[in-house]
Amino acid sequence: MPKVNLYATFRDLVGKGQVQVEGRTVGEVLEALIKAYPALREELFEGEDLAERVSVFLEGRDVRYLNGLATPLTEEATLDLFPPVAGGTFAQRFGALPAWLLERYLREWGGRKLEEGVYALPGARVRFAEVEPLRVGSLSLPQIEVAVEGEAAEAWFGRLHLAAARGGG
Amino acid sequence: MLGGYAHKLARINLSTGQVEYFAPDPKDLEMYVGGRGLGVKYVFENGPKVDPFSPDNLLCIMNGPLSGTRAKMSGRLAVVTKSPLTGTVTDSHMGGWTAAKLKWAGFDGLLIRGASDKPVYLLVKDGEVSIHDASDLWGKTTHEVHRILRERHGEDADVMAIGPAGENLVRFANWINNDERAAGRGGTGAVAGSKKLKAIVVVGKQENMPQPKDPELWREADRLASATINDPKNVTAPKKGGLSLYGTNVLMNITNVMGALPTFNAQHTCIDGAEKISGEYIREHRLIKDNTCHACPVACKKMVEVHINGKAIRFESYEYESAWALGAHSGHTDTDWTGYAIYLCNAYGMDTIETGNAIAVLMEATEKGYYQGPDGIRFGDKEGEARLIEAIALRKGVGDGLAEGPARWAKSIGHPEIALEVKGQSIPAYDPRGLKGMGIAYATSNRGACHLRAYTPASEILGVPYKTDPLAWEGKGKLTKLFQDLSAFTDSLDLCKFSQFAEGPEEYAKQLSAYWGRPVTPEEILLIGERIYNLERYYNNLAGWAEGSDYLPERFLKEPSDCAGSKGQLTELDLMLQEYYQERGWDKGVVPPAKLQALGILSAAADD
Repeated sequence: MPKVNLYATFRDLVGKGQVQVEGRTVGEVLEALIKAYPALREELFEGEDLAERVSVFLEGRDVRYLNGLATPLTEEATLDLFPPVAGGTFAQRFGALPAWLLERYLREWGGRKLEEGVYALPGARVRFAEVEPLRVGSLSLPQIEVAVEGEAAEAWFGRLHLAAARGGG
Repeated sequence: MLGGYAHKLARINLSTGQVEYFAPDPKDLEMYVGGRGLGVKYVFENGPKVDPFSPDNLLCIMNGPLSGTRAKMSGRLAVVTKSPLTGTVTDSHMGGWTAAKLKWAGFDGLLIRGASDKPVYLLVKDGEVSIHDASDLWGKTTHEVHRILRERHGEDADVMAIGPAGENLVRFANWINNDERAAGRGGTGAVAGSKKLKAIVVVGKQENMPQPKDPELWREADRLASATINDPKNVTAPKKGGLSLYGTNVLMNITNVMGALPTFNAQHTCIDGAEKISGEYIREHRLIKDNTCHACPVACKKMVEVHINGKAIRFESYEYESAWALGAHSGHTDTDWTGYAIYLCNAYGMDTIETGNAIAVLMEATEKGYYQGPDGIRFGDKEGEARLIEAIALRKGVGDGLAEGPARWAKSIGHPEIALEVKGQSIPAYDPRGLKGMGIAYATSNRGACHLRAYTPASEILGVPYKTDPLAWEGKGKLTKLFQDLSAFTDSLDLCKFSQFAEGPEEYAKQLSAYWGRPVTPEEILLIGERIYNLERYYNNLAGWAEGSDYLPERFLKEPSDCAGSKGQLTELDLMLQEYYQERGWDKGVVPPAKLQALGILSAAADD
């Protein structure tokens, strides 16, 4: 029977660090897990799909880089379940940039709010939406999707990239 | 006059006992800011050919324009010199209150040259520096020195000290202050030892805190910086974010699962039982208290207690790098013995990362029969490890050779390939086969292998500022340049690296504008960072690290990772170097004259 290692907040929800559940695919194992611990449903899924914020590792690879929920599992398989990682490498998805701070930048640059999540800048329109935070292990980082369109989009996008620059250590 | 500074530095000649004071050149402040940048400028002017252990080497103890202010996370002190480990310029930073108190004592920095005949310590107080006999302190551990000097000069005195390792010129000896923060890397403590300088005592009063030139802008800048650091969604959020709760060691479980944790001297990329030395485990089982540094709401410091042979030992530095080096890299995950090894390194005053590498190199050499001395030890020998730490610090047996650095020792036994080094400095806790960006960051770091010049895991693991695939090499050269420039700037303010998990060029620009009293743009910030990075590289080029100096240990290029998460992976260094050099405008690692002129370095530094 496959094993599931749970980390951080998942461990709190389940009350232990490892469980064993039936299933021949990642999807089946997660369904079985939710049946045993219903509080996990909201954490793991968005509709039928694995929530973007969740990270499921099989043998250390994010299952998104494998076959997603359909990834087959052996009886001996071990999944590592971390509270969420956003998938993909979109240049427009920034980390550690809260929406209120982005709005602040946009206003400073002469932006005008058109509606929730939409600003007009000279020659460009900026749309943004906070998405599920990226969580790895016990870390959680806010993520925001930003799209810039219009004739001056490239220049404003460059400005945005500079403002959003972060690092760490 | 730019705000944020004491506008006073001391030149201390330990050969003659002379102390002179001078005001920094305003042009230098605008170009290099303070901390790392200004220190590098002074070390550059002192000449790149100097022998690191000669009295002529310059040891700079620096703070920056935001040090000692209310700017969040502004408690970092920069130690800048020519490294005896690498022969490059190096800078190493410590947290706590030393930087703030140095400012409050009336200084932007101390520039120390010469060498004393007998052991001395410096007392920095009320705008003056005095030199005192330290004969009674010589031979003592850092912890003993902290205690004695604080009894002598008061509990408000801040003390940074070297241990026996620094006295014995262990090439990776460091400085430890009384908050058990380390200026860890590059052997700056050995440079102090070569000058017979045992400690620096700083007495400063908070009432001397510099005030911003533009108080209205400061209120706004500080409010914004605080709001983003404290934003409950950010990783820095006090008592909520992962960095606040678990400290740096929150990474142990993550890199282990990714196959990005070098273990058994990077013969493997994961280890069973990593959990036992992880931040989560330490918090649950060993934590005594969450401590903090000057002006920092994050409080990542963790006071812990471990037990060895029935004896309780309390200390503060169960950091990710240290736990990795003295645990996983050395082939075990024993919670208490790893902690004890960290404590010993701090007591003797040695870089935990380099010491862990020295231990791991000896272990591999012993197991492979490359070293057959009676004091060889094997992976997982925890008690042998503790003995070896003392042997290195006191230069006994094989410890004497290892004190020269694992790179020199491995070469001396005819097996340089087992030393995982770049420019003579050993790798930290990220395997570049599982985190490709670390490969290019290590290779091009100006102070030898280092995770803090360009912290690519921010992007590869944490999605900051954007997510990249840890196993893809494309784009990592560009990312590395951005991180190197940004960090060169923040190291000059001098703000904690953790600030970058919440703040960016906009926030830094506003804060510096308010203090300086003139507008600063985000573009200028990255330009200053680029200038500092290029000056360091120019120094290294002149010091002999020229074309071909940006390399990686062969292990990462030829021996595939064997752990899940990165299994079968190697590091594509050549491809990343090509991308990186193009971004930098360098010719195979050498800064061309046109670049130096464009950044104002030639006219500002070399021609002076």
